[in-house]
Amino acid sequence: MKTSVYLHIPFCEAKCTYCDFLSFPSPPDAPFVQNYLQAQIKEIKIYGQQLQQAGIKVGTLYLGGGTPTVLTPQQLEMLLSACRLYLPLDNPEWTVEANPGTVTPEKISILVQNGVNRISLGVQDLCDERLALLGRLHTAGQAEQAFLSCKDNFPVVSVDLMVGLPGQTKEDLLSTLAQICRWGPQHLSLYGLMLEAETPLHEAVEAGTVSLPGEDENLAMFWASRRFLSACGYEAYEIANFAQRGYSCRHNLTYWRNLPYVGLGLGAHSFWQHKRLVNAKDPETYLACLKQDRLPVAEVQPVSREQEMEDTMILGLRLREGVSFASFASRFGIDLRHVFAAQIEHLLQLGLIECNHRVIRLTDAGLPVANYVFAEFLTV
Amino acid sequence: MQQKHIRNFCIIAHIDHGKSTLADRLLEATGALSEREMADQVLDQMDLERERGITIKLQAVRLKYRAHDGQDYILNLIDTPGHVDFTYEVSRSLAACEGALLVVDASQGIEAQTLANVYLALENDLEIIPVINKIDLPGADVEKVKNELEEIIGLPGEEAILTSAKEGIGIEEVLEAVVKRIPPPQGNAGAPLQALIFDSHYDPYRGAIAYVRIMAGQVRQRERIKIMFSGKIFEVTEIGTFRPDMTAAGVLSAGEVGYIIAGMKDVKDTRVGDTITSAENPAPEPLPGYRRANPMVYCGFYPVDNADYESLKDALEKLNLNDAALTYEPETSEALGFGFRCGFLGLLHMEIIQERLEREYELALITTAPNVVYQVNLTRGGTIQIENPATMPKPTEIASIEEPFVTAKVIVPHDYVGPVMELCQEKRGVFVNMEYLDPTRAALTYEIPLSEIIFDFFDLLKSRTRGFASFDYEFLGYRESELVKVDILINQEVVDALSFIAHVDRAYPRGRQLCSKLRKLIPRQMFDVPIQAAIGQKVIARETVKALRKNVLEKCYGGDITRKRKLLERQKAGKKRMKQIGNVEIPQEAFMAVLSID
Repeated sequence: MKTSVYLHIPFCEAKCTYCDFLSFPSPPDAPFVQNYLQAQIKEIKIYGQQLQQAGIKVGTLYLGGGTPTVLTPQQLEMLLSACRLYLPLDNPEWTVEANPGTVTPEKISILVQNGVNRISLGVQDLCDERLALLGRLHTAGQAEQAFLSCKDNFPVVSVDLMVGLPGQTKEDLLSTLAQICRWGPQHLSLYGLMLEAETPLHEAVEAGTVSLPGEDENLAMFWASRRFLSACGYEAYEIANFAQRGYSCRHNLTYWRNLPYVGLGLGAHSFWQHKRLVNAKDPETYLACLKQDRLPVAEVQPVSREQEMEDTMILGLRLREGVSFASFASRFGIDLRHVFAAQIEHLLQLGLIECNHRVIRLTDAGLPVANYVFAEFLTV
Repeated sequence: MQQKHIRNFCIIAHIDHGKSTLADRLLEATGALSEREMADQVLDQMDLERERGITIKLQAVRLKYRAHDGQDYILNLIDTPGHVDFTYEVSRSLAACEGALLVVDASQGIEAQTLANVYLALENDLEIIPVINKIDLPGADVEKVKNELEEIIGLPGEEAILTSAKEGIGIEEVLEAVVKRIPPPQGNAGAPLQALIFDSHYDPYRGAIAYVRIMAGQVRQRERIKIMFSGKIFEVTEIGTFRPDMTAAGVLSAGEVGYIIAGMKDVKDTRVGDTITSAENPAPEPLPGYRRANPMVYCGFYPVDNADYESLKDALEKLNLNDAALTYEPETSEALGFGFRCGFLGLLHMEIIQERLEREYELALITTAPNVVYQVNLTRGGTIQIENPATMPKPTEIASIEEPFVTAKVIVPHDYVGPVMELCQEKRGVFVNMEYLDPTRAALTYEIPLSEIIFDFFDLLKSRTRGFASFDYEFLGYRESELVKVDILINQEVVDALSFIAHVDRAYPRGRQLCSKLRKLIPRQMFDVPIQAAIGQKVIARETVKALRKNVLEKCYGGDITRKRKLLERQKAGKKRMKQIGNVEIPQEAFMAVLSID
């Protein structure tokens, strides 16, 4: 059996104006960073032993943040070799998130030498003004430079882009996509900007100094980008993710198929043995737990069978492949068409989902209003 | 107790001027309650009253006081509700008294709403003792208030007692004035019994309890009594007084205030204003002023969850035991399912019942917009009463429609006469007359359809006169009007609970406004939802709720799953509180939207 492991690196050079993630802007030589890494390595070791004992291999490994590549080359080396040493890796898909300004040749070579085979580059946009407004520390030119050096070194490069940014038009987006497609990453993520409360961008929008595209424009961008990327050979295998054939992100597929995964690091989430676990979100508790060789789990929520079935639907429907009747039945011992008969009938009527003899999935009409579909599957 | 040692009085005050606090101090000062026993403001017993700061249900209390003349007195304090819906109840409790304390806030001065009750008190020949309260507050202007008392009401300002109920200042003076200035009750204890019911309350173990003022004669335990208007006869099981808890007594005589328990099964047997007399030796006539309080305003109550129908029925039954003015009948709406059409004295009464159902009985309700009772003369002859706009017959079957009119009296400072006249005209009012009470205040009389009053008349009157108007109305009679029923169609289906009746001149603008209001209230669905207003087959207004086009969480990874799930759950829970009509989810507010147009 294989599982997926996520490592959270909660450090950045600076906080972006739209970000509400658990992340601290800190210089990498701060004692806190050093202490954190030591604690995290201990956490890796504890989990590694447990996985080993259970005979479970790690099939995908993902370092996210924050920005993992803000760490110094030495710190990166230490963290990556700890992963190799303690985790029962089995020819894993190994992804590291990076921001264009932080990928130096030295860091790239450390990543490659340790076995990282996929890099996810936070490009976000190719308009320098907007990048500055978002609080990004790089320019479009630097992004291209970073991309090119990654492409030479990693088998797979993924690019993150954002849609629905202040002042962004459909034409802007299409020209950005055209440029990115010329670079030729194997994988692309396209995220609609979510205005999170208490972020500087939210305040600016509230104050009226920044305005965001309206619903119609967003919808136009949503469809235009899908058409364009499809024509360029990228399959929309998930609501916000696109890949050339064979390059879907295996790690993220674990989440969307509602399979178990382990999250390590500050505030990281795990889904393990029908429980959702959340690590301590405040650094002191996190460090203190590991100092005493205890796992820093702060919350444990058991997931009932019903809830797991619902989650399997709302996550699986995000995927183009949909939810297969056979895999659902073998997992829960019941046909999903039986469990969700009323919802399926209602959604079929509205034309938001489709079923064939094998799977259930969203239709094109269902995609932009997927939340409505998901909510139907929840019992509140 | 001899009559000369009894004083019966009430307190008249504007909301927030300190009536309840003053009552508390009087209870404390006379030892009726120790400080420790006092939950703040004992007289207002319902939570709702305490929160809103208004008295809905009357209460009475008996105070023992040794006056400066060395004699012991019994002071009966009768509390009065303070809202136009309950004017009748107020008039009955005033009729049970010989005097009233008029409490005025030293910084606010006399407020318009106080006046209606002052006039009621004067009509009942009550001795009025002005009390200027809150004199400790920085904004207090005692001289100004004294002048107002003289000019507006004609009471000598010099006689006003200065108090701060909060600080306990002037309480002794108030008690002395009650004894010295308010006349003792008169009434022949030897005459046949006449007891005025000024309130009643329902006790689950003892049945209805009548709160009475004995105007003549005496009543004893085990005596057979007759309720004069209802004609029913009961045997007294207990009589007593409020100290402030009910305390049994052997006899109640003319002049006294107390309670009578006689196996009456609910408060309908003891309607306010009715007279209790002796069954063996009845009084030749009942006391004057009785009027059966008829519902003036109707609305539909529907459980959000149809499964709560029985609970709603039980709750209404229980409330009705204690509230004779409330009526309810089962009703079915195509849109809302099974519910009740309920009748109320007025809008506040309706709101109170609604809140009690939701709060005390934990029912989630959909309330339809209130309406009056229409009398419809049919082409085939005969007249029917329409309590629900949805049941209005087809236009072809209607010869004419009559609606209730009221005589509305507005007392207002002369600066606001113009705006008030404008408002009354907008509300289809017919001017009757205007007189000046003093150089600065005018009393305007209009005849207005009740249906206009129950919409937003109070609110508009308040805002256009900055709160300075006092307003009261009396039922006048039914009059023919050119009325039409306007239906609302949502997604091509008539939603019966949204139908309303309007004057033909108002139907178009109201239909348009309601459609536009509903467009804002009805959340976007997966498809376009047309909203139409129609008179018969004729569509007079149309709006469209545009379909929801984009609603998708684009980013969802391991750490987000719980959070995103919660978000979706909240989204769904919001929908659950709505009513599904056809394919469309309609929020509860939509059913009240018709209230806030115009």
